[in-house]
Amino acid sequence: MTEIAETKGQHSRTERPGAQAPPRTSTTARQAHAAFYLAGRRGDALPPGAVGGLCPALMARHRRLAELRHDYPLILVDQRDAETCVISLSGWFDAILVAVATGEDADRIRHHGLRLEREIRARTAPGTSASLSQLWSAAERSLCEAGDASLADSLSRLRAKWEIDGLVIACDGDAPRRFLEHVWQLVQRRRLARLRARIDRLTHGLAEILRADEAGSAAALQPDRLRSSVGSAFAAEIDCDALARLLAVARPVCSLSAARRERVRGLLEALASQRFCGTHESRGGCDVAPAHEFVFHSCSAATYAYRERFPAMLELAKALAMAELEVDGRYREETHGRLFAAWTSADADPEAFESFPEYLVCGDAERMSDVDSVHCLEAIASDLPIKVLVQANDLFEPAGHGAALPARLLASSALAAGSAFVMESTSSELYRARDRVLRGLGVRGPSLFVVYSGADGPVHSGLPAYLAAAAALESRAFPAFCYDPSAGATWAERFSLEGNPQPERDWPVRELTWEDEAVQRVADGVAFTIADFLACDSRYAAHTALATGEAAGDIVPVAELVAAAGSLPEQLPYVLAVDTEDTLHRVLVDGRLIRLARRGLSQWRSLQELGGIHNSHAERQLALRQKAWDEERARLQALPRAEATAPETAAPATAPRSAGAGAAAPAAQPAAAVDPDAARIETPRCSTCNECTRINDRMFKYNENKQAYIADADAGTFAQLVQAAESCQVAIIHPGKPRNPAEPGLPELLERAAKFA
Amino acid sequence: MSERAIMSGSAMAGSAMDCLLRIHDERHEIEDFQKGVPRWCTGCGDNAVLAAVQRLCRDEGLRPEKTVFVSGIGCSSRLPHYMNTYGFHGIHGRALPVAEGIRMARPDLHVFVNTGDGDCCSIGAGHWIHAIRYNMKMVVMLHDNQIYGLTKKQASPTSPRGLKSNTSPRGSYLEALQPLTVTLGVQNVSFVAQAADWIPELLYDIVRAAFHHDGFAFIRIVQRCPEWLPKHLDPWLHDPQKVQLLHHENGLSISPALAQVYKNRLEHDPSDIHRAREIASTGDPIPVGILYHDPDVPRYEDIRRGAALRTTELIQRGLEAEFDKFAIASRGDGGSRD
Repeated sequence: MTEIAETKGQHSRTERPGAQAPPRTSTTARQAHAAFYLAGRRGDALPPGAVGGLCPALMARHRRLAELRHDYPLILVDQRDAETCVISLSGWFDAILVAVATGEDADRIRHHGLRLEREIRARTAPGTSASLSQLWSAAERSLCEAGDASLADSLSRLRAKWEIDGLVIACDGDAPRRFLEHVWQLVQRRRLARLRARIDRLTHGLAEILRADEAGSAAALQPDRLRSSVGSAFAAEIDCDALARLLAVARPVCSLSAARRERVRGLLEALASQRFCGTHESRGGCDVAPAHEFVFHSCSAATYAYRERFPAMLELAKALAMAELEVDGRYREETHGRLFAAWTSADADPEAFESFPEYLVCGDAERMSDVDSVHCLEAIASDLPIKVLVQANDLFEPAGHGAALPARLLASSALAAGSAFVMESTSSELYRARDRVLRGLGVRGPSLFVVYSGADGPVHSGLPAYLAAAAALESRAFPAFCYDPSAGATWAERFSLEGNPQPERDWPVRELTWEDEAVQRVADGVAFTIADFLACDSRYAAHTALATGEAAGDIVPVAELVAAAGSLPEQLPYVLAVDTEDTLHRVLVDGRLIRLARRGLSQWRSLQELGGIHNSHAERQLALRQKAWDEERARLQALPRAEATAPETAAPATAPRSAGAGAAAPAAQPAAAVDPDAARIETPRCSTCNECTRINDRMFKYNENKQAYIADADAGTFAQLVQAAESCQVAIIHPGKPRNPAEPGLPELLERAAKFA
Repeated sequence: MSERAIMSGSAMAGSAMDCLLRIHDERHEIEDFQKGVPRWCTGCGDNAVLAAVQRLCRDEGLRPEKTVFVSGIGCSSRLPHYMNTYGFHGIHGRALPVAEGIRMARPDLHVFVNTGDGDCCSIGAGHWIHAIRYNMKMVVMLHDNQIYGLTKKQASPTSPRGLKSNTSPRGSYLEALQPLTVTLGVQNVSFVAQAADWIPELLYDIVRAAFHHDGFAFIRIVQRCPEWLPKHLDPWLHDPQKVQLLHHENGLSISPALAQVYKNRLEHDPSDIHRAREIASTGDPIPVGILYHDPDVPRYEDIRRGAALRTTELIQRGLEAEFDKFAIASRGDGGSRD
């Protein structure tokens, strides 16, 4: 007989890799644990902690990133709309392959196309800079060296569908800046095109006024001018001398006043000399007044430039307003003359500046001084047309004593301004957040983008920048959020936590699968915390230790410990990490990492409240209403049945009965009243099929009989409740009414939920 | 060797046994019988069967080291992997002979068999017939989802006529084999019941009644396959009238709550085999409950019990007897050393 049950398996925690029966922890070991947890000191009971080459367990599968298709590299497409100016290399290849890989050759073309994509991806190393056309040509040359005719045919057919070009960027320390600059330039170009068109139209109109005036002057009616006007084709038929004599008598007497002529000339000069957008000539290289520079490296420089240029901007706005009146023939000296003579910024219509260029500031958080931070917040709190990118490259600098989160503090602080667009994200999320980036660049007024690049990943944790950025987002070390004041009047409309994994949880929980010592597949839900993010950072190696020997006994996952209070825990906290040999380890972490994790969790919970998740005010109100409702229901139930009818339910009893012990089924008994608005499950009818628990295992849990019940209706969304009800094989889940009135798509969800009322 | 020396050795062994017994007497929770994460598809009826047997193990206080689950091949036959007990994931169709062997060699173990409609009714049909006739004490659960799920949708012997599958693209040509009528037609049949995976309360009650039966307890579990026959049993699942609950003072009783949902009920005496055969032959409504129960049918292991029982207690007793041969008597007790 083969014994399958080789491990005890009393609890999921004991099934973790390397787990043996928990040994009794001796007093000495407890003291060693306390010394390690409190002071990071290791005695003999704990092994050395300098563990290199470790990777967070949940990231291990993606460690060889170059072999995986993911968002990066990105193509910064030239000459495109801002909405489609950034595309993913993989997405672009997919689109081409759908168009080209058809018919009998489909598989071959797809195969070759993906080879080409892989080759381009391999050539797009961090820090390099090349266009798509260059990379394509180099990759194509390399692949076709062997003289494979079918490959060459496939690539030529793919090339025929190739319509775009642009810089290809990898996920590295420059990616956020390049990404934002590229999108900003296209938004700026669109804005300046409107200004340029207006200036051109007015310039043409003003020039026409002068030309018409000049055409009626005596000088324009001289025979030579008339002859040159007529041209050589009709020189023999027209007597220009006679015509000049005739016109000298018959020409109209009206002409522009000297003042108007001077005014129009002045306006033309003002429009020609402006430096806010380049002229058509400047593109040909013969312009004398190049446009201003609008990209800066500090907010102070940008605001200084704005204020320095403001008088010129005001003059241009005034010239545009006057020119509009002149061209339309509506300018009245007696009315408009006085107005424009006393023209100030207060007279300018805010919309007059709509099409004026905006300022972009790109800076690194690590290089920002305290003064820079203050200038940045001042700029964000002002009404200046300024877009600020603060790029964070290192989130947890140990020298900062655990408090070095300037970038995240910056974004959170900027929220207080209330009127500025604020977005926080990571470079791994940037491509999926491009709509939000575009919205932030499109609004008039200040915008702040704080982006973690992950550039410190390869240096400190050995992770590629993309994975380091993804880990920061996943671990809540650098959560994503977006505040858009133009989206509506309330926080529910303005603030979004979109982009964060499992935003309703403290930490995202993913399923981790591994092979245990008995070569059996084991799977478990693993929370990804800030401690997971930091445990693999070489600078924090002194705060970690591998859990081996006796140290593998009384330990607890970090997520459990962080949730509990207390300074010195009974059990040492650990995270799961994988070494270069793909072996799973439990890595003990000390109190410092736990403190960082707790601080990060506290900040994340604040964001959750802003985003309407577990909002304490709302929950308090809900509890009060629930209490009042319960009291009212109890009062009604206490009345005689004739006076009040309490709702009844058909919830079956749970107690099992012994076989053969009962008689015929008795009549149905009245059951306890239930809240028709509350979500519920007919637990005794649950067939343990795992449908609902897989949708949300915090909302749905199994009881002692392995039958599902709703453990926490607030642990998920109404959409999940409806989805669970629809998935339930035995249709015993009743979603009730939504608990969050701001949840998106409620009308449709309520319609779907009605079937399960 | 003196008498006293032997007593001394027994006392030592007794204290060790006390310790072991104290451990074994500890109550086990349902988690103690869980192992691994089931690989079954989400929504699969196998999950309900697993939950029912784990509940049974807990409620009956079974010791994991005294329990064995045996299976053949198929989706359902993965069940022993998820029980933290002894297990034998056998070869196709041979779950029953393996279980019979265990029963003969280790009568101290509680034997459960999980088999599918292919494993039991097709390749293992010969063993099935004779296992009924042998009437050895074990609980046999036939997970009948009417399709081969593990190999991705081929017709099984219990697939209804007209069912389209990868091996019957124009529909199955033959009438389905009825496991209940077959079982009830074999000599020495002693316990036959039918359960439905979507009525977990009755499923548990039936498994428990089968566990308490002193012989071959056969349960056919009508089971959904959400992957390959997702809508196949929907009419029975969503219309309680199409399920007929069997109850009797010698069978199952129906709880008031369940009676509210399932109003189609039939009082049936499980000792009446002719009536049981009539009920078993009706496919619609599905009868759920104990169809037949005869506790007086002799068991094969009682008739042909082996000479040497290989239980841990007997092995331990034999070892102690061997060790006692080398035991040293205390000074002054009149032993041979003096």
